Amino acid sequence: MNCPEQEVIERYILEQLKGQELTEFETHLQACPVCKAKVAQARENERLLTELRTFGKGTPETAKYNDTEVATVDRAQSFLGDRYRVIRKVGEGAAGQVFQVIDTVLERLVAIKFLRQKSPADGAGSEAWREARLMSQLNHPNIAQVYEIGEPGAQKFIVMEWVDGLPLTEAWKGLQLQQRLRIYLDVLDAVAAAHRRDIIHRDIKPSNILVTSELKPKVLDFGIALETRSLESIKQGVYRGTPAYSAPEQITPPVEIYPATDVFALGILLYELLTDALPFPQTEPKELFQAIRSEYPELPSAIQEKIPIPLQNICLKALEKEAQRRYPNAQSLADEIHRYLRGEKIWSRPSFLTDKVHQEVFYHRQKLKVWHDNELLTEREFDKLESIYERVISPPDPSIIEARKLSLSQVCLYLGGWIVVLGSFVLFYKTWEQIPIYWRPTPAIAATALMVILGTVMWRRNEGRLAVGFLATANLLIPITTLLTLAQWEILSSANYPWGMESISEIVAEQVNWYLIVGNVQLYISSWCWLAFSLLFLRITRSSIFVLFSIIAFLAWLTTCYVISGMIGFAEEIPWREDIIAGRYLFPGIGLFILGVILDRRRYAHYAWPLCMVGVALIVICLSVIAHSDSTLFGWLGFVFALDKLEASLLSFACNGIMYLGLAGICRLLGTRLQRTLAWILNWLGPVHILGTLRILDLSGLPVSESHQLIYRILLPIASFAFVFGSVVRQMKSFFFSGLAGIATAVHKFTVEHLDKFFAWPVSLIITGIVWMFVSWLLPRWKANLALKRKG
Amino acid sequence: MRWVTTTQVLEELKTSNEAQVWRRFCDHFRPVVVDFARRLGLSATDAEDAAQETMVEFLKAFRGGKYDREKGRLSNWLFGVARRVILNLRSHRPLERLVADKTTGTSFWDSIQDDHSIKHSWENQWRQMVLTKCLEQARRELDSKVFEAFELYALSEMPVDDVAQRLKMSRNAVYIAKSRVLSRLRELEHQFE
Repeated sequence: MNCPEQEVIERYILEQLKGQELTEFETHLQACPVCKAKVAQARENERLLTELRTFGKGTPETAKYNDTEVATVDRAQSFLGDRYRVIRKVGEGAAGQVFQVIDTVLERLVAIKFLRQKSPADGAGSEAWREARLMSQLNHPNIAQVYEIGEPGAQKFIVMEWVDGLPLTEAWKGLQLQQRLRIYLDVLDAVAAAHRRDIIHRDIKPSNILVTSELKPKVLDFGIALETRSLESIKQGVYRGTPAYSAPEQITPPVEIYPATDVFALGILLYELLTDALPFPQTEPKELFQAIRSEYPELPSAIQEKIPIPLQNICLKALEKEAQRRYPNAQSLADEIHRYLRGEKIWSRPSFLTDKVHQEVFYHRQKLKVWHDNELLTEREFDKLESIYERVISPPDPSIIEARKLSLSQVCLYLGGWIVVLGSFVLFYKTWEQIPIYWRPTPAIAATALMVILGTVMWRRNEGRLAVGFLATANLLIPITTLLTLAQWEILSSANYPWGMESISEIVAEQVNWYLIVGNVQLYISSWCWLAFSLLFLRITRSSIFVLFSIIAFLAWLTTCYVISGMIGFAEEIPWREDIIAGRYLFPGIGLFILGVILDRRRYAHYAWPLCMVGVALIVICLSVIAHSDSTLFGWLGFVFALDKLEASLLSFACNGIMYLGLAGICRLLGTRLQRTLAWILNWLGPVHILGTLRILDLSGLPVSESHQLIYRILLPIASFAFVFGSVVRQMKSFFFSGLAGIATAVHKFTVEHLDKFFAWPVSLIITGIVWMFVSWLLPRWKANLALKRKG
Repeated sequence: MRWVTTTQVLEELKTSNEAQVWRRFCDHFRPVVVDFARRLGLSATDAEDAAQETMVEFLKAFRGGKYDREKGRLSNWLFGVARRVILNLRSHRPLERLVADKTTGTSFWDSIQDDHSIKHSWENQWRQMVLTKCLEQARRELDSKVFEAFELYALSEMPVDDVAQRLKMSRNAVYIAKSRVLSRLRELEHQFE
């Protein structure tokens, strides 16, 4: 039997045999123990060879086996000829080798980079061209200059500026944060210049950035840089770069490259700048890639205590996992750092920091719930903590926070706005007959338009702090301007008294020094405009100030509606009746409250708060006004019990108190935090109204019969005790303390009126107190014994 | 440098006190410890110191009869000593003196803390040292043309036809050269360990 040649065996191992050749060899193999042994040996050899190649790839020793590569100084010299004299090899990377060389013609040091070739057919030459072309496009002081491209035969090389410096992270050792930042900003400037030319570096790392002794960085090695042209991203099938500085999209197929890919590497540099540590310190490539793709780096401030938080946020923002969430390019990152250095507010809120916070808060809230269920926390404490956590995880827009903060600049802004509003309002004080009619409202119109335009522009430019200031001013100006324009230009002025009503404005003008009379319909239109713009601004900014403006505008609009329709008025036909007016606003108050409840249940607590608060305030004010008026809501009490007007009115207050307690009960049933807070407020109002009224009804000098006063005198301690013991049910401190106060006033009343001569009275009080205290001591024991007996 | 197996070196070390024997032992194992120390983040000087200390410690232990060839590979034993020496040295060096740039050759390794990674690193270094020595020996032993054919075809991955043409030999001869060198390498590797 003729055994095949070694070549066949080798090709069989490498799976290069095909078709008939393969079938024939396999048939032979089954019958031939010699070839079987050879195949086994060849397989072992192949395994060893793979190992040899693996070690060979990264080490200079094996590079000498590669005929086509420049590995030694001598060999490099042989390519370069006379002009360049090679001094030493300075570096070797995946892309090729770099030598320090003297240019004997120009008498200067240069760096020469030879590209590594995988095989003679490989197009490394074109890569050399590309790198040189890209670098020569970038004429920037912080990017190493390309002088020329050499081409001795197959081996092309790039002659570059020699940078005598240290790698970035080496260079900034011992430097202050400010100095480090200055170097870093120069690096950003260089990369931004590349980004402007649609070039993505792809391999930004400390060893590719050399810092000279003047602390000037130079970005090198555009060996794997890409040109994006007009494309936003480039899809590349292969991973290229340095593992520790790779962005998630660079190591996750399908590989996509954006300018933000460089931003990620720059973020890692910033992290190192701040902490002297890598954000992803994993050593095994697999673990490292996993970490880059899905893990959060440790907070820089956890490593170095004194790190400025805005810088930390900028760094974390640059390290976002999703490229879209990072700064889009190096320039944006640089702008943000410049903003920080100018002392301006930094808006960057890295999502993975907030995600981390969300996660932590989620666990904490779970714990809180357990603690609350186990009565380690009272309901109120639980609510307070919950509200804090809620603010942590869904804070208002940072610009809104800024707008709320009374910084000097913000105070100036609001003050200016307020003066503009006042200035516009002063235009009502005269008829301005000396000015042509069309010019009269113009200052206010111009101011309003300016405010609206500036506000909108600022909002679009993310200057929320200023935008809120301008829009709030515009919001106050809108009703004034509308009204002024309508009045001065006499639009709809004939509709002043459509139903014979007197103008509100005329009545007001009698009271104050006010000359420009406006019609009710004009008031209606201006308040309507105000409401519409308030809602519009609310929709744009979502700032709670506009919720408040909307509510006020709504109430103003409602008032004009009532006046026009004659439901309230000042003229003789409809006399001024507080109870009627209060009645008109009671139901809108209830409406606002219900709207607040609905929004609250739909998780719009942000809008629900002002609605519910204003709603409850309206309800309380209206009910109090009604109770105070002649025809009380509980006037029937007067008829039934033949009461005096004042007595009936006061009793109405007590009844209101009972209604507040009922409303508190409803709020409690609704169960959200906002409702619980409202219930808490109402739970104070209820007892205070009830006990306060009972106390007042017992005052001497009131037109209240003695028998009734006696009833109130007895009712007060009873109600007080009821509140004290009622506090046990839901831990209501409001009940408890009002009850205690009620008891105190009752004791005072009894002492002054009836028992001031009896020494036994205070003694009996003291003894009763002591007995109660003992009872409280023994009560738990009795309860426990009773429970045991029952079980026994 | 002549070909010596680990067994030979150890035998000599046990019986002879000559400086030459000590130097041979150091030539044999010192580079691997130096490389390993560099990978663990020591500077060149520190790595040399660490290697020296490892050699001395090993010799002491070996002469004291603490190392028994039957019980484990020399590689493992030397690893234990080197690791202890290097980590000890690392912990007493200020941070500035440790290699800092994590992207260069020493890169990844200077923050290695877990045993698995350190062991893996050592195994790689050791294996590389063994294979390099075997390659050197094979180059000495075998016909230069055979070895060149192997280098060009197997290591540089030059197409087989180009190699055959360049060295004026048949394709089959190139394959045979590859097979011969690799088989010899495997034998040498076995001998060395």
